[in-house]
Amino acid sequence: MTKDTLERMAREIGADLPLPAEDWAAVVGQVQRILEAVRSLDELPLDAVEPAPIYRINP
Amino acid sequence: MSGLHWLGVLDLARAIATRVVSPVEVVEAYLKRIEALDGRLKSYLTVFGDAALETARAAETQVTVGRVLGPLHGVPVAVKDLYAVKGTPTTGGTRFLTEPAAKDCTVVARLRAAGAIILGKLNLHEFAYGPEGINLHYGTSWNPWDAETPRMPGGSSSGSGVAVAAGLAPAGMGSDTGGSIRIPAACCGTVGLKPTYGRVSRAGVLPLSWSLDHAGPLTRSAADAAAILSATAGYDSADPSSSVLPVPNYVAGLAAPVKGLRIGLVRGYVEQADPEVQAAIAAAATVLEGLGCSLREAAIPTARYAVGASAAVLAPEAMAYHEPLLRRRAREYAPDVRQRLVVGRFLTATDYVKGQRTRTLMRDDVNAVLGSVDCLLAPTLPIPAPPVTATEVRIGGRRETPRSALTMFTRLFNLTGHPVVAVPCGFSPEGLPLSLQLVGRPFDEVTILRLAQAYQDATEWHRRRPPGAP
Repeated sequence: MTKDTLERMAREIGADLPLPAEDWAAVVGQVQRILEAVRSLDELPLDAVEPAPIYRINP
Repeated sequence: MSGLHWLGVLDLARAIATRVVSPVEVVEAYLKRIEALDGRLKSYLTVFGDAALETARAAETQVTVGRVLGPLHGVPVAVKDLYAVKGTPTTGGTRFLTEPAAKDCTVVARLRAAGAIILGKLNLHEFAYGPEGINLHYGTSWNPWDAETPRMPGGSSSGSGVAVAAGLAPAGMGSDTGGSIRIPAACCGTVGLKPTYGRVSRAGVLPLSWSLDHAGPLTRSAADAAAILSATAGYDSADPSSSVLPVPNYVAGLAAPVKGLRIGLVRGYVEQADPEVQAAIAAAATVLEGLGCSLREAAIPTARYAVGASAAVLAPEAMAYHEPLLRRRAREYAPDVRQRLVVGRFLTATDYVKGQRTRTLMRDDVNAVLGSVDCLLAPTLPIPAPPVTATEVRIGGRRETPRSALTMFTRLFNLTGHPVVAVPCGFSPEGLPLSLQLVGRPFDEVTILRLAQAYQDATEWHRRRPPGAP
């Protein structure tokens, strides 16, 4: 995905947030880095791994 | 009595209970020092001067008639301005949260029940979303270890680190989502305890990321951290993550010997640190061996995925909490915090679940390592505190952003929930604090606090006073 495409997507995704125009360049840069870091988790053997339960019905 | 402000929590409690000093004298000493120094240091956002004195007078009367309410009777404690204190706003380090809290958060209520006096609300990186400790609205807390150049105090519990380091409070409560107790502790040369996830209630503490947030103290000694933990730990029905496990006597637990403890040195973290940090860790390892501990190498293979897993979990949780506020007040946030929050919109639900699955692997990884050692040893930070204006830092030959560098060794243990204590372990050639962290088994704060205190008893780092707050 090109940076321009990502920035267009970012503005659409964030359309309901009253953000200053100058935020988008910084946001796009951070998104690229974070998505790359999250993609690296695909290297892990997660097949049989469950997330820890978040919901708790009682203590 | 001079130098009251350098007495720790336990020493103050003892001195008050035995009537060597009165709670009023103690609070007056702190208020005087805060007035003299905090205009520059900016560790406090609100000082509860009159209220603290009123509570101190009541505490003094009780001592006079032989009634000591609890183990922290008359001891002042300050709290990060994320903790609700009845009748005062919880600002989160912003200018627009002005509604007074209807009641104390659980931690504050428990501190009061133990007899502590709440001295004030401490500065922080806005909404706890930054390891640098910068605050554009109130000014950034000044790291007292450099009297000339503004250095990062570390965040997000920046005010807590500075206040404790500068003798403006004997203990400061902080919060830790990716390192935010341990990073300011390391930058400011104090002890910082991130307890096991679920050990200390988060109820009434403004959240950043519900499944990563931990509440805990910054102090000048591990023993003092044990005292604060004893007063604040335990099940709370208002916190769904709260553990029902019984709370041991952490202070009594300090007395057990450390000889024979097995320590795993996280070589992968040590090798990524600056040479001066590596040397300090090696020296600390020698001290620990001199205390009768044995050291061996420990590896955590999944540690390298902490950045991705932390982002996958923290970013969506933080954005979920802030979304309603951002819709109304986005421009009132500091730009760096606002931009980081918005990034959370770009992580999918699948990314979030992937992050949570990765946490399971990481928790099992760290538990496996802790199966053959009693605790782990690692640097807290790869470098000493950088200048506030730094946009890049060098670690050995590598370049990193300050944010990435400061959280490099800390965020894993927010993902896994293991207890960690950061302890001063030396100084850089520029006189800036260096820090190690000890990681324990789940709910085994007793062992890491005991070892941390034994290390402090064998070293002098924690006795040095910062030049910016003599």
